[in-house]
Amino acid sequence: MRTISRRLARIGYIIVPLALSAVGIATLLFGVVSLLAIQIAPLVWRDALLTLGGFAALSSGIWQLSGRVMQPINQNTPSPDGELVYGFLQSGKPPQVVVLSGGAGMLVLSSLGGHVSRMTCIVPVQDPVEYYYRAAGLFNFQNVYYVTPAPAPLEVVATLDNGTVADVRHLALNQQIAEHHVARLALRDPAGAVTPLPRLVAETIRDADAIILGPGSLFESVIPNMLIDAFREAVSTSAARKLYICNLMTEPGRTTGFSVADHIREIKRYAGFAPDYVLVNAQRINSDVHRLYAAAHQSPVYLSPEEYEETAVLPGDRDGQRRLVIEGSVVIEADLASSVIQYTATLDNPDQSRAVHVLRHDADKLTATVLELLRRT
Amino acid sequence: MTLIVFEDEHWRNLAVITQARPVFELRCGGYTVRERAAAMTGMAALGMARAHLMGYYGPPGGLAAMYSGEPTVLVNGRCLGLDWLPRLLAEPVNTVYLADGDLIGARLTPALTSAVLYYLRDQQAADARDELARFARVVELCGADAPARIVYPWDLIGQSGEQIVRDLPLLSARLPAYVSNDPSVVLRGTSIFVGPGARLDGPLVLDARDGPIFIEGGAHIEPFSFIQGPAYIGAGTLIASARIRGETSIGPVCRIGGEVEASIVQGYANKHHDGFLGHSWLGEWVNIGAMTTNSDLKNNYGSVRMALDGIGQLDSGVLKLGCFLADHVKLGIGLHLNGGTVIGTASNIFGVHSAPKTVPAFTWGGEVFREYRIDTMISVTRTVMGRRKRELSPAYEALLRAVFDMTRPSRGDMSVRLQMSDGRIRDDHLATLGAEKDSSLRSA
Repeated sequence: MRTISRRLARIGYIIVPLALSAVGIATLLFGVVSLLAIQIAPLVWRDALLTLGGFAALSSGIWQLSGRVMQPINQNTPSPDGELVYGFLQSGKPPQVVVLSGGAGMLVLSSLGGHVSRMTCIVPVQDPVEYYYRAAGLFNFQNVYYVTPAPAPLEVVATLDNGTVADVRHLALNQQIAEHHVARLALRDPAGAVTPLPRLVAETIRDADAIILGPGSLFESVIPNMLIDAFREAVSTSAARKLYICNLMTEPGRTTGFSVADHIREIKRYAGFAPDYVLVNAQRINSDVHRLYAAAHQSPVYLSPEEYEETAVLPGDRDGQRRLVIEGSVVIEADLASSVIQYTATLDNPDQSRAVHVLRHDADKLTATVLELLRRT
Repeated sequence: MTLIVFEDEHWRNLAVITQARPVFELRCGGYTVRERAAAMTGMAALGMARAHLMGYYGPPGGLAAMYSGEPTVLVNGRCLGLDWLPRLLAEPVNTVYLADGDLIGARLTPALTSAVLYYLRDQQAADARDELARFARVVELCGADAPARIVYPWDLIGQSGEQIVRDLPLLSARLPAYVSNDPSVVLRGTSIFVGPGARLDGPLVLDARDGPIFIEGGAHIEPFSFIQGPAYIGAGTLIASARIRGETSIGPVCRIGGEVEASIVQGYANKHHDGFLGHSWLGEWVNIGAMTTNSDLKNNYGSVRMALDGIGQLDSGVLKLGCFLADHVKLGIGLHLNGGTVIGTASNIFGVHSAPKTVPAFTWGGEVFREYRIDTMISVTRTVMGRRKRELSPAYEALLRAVFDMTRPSRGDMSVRLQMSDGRIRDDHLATLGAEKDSSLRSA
């Protein structure tokens, strides 16, 4: 009895629409039967037969529904999309997630913290961790813990393709190098590469269900931590699914001219592994925004046909939809961004700001997509 | 600099009196550990405690408030003596103080803080200590340098007198030495410090020959009172013709009558009438009825045993030990309490000659016990706090409700369903005294 009641209790989420549907079907059937005045038996027998048949069908339907709709979703449970929402809610312990990112990108993904059992953000090795806590306090992020990969910040320097060497944090500010990209990233003090990993970081990476790289600057936020040997080793040996959220646009002076494949190759070069999945924005931007970005030597990072290597089918994909595989990573296109109006001012004219349309990762879209991917894979 | 006072694994030893307050909010001497750390450094001390306490005792910004660009200073909330704190502040960043294996304090960069604050958030100080030992300079505090720490509840009582003496430099810097020509105020000894606005109505005796006496501003000492040092009387507290014997600390806004010896009254508590309170600890908002008295010495002069929640019966090893009444405990008139009695948060005991030695939190009754309904308790608390011009904040209400839920298992099978005279079933909670005793024995 307990098993029956427990199983039926699962459909509590949809009891109202279910009951409405049942009433609708019964009323409709009764109307049809009355309308046609079907005389399949004497009146009493006909009514009794209809009632019993309807009750049996409804009971059977509800019983089967409670078993299919509310089952925890796993790889062995093929589920159409309509069932997935309930399936995710019922699937028990949500995953432990580690985010390797920095700057505004990490803050964009922080809303994911409310949907997972534990979210640990490992900030770039050159960044002060307190900045992230201040921002988190400002936006009231829940269930997000920020930690540094080393007991003290380490300086990261980038060598550009024209030979320029600069602190990676200053690349974005230098307009002279906008047309160039990073050719090599390194710690200013090579001894920093053997920095031991804090136990919290090592354990978090080891126990994670998913490691999310990005969103954020490839060379400023995602890759710097990989320059620490122990960190790189911990991430590459972790059994967690590794997911990279690719940049929406190339970054002047850092990834100018980079394609999706270039981003993945850089991760592979420094981390020693290719992410299992790569999320790429599918939404095309309008020409006005495009022109604005082009003036700043930036271009959208789209998946292009020439990057085709092989295909794969993602678990849960309907109709055998095929995904591109680049460098061993399954690349998934999804709507991840929104165009927002940003007010900017220059240091020369701090009082004169102007509104510009810019493309930004959308926190809600990104969270939904990441959760969906984690649930499916 | 960010100053953080944290709880470590030993909070469990103090579970009964720290159900509704962090360890670092336990008064001993003139201050709680948090107040003492703040007074010594001249800056606000942020509390890092169990999750259900953080809404009220933690900083409003949560973890975000615990990070600044400046170094972070960690202080163990069990450390009564903080003589080492000024030394730690002068140490190079990333220095850790240990004593007998306990993490006492640390001065860290924000980066290293982020590597251990996660453990401290879960009171895993040993993990934090091990991690810090990998990256920071470790200084062992040995011998006389090792600070006094609370391990068991009776340590608060044992350290009370010494702690008042240790607080002398801090308190004497704030409170002026008492000088009076009033012949009705008899002074013995010289270490008597009285804050501005305190009212001393003679005839009374202040005897500081065995230790200093501190009386905060706004306190009122009524005629025929006797205060023996070392003693601390908090701001706004009324001493109603009472005998306050040595080694007693009384927090703010209390009403104290009868005889009190070597006890700690956290604050906002009433023991207004006659009756003896010795070697005991009272939480905030405790009320003790007239003629209620506790024993602090066994007739066989043996050491007093005490039941600790989640641990069982422990021999305290001390001959003189009274009772521990957690926050919001209310006792009726004429109760007798044995030495080592522990009464959990918000319990309301009345109508019996001798109270049980162990009473779970949120217990109501005397001959027959039942669960104290949380909504009723909250309503009473709102009234009680309102009488002292204090508001029951939503955060504090949430804390009390959390404690109610957490302590539900300790009340065992008090819950039964009563059938009312009209046939309706009413959820109620009833247990006999014997059943409660059995339950406490089982837990022991």
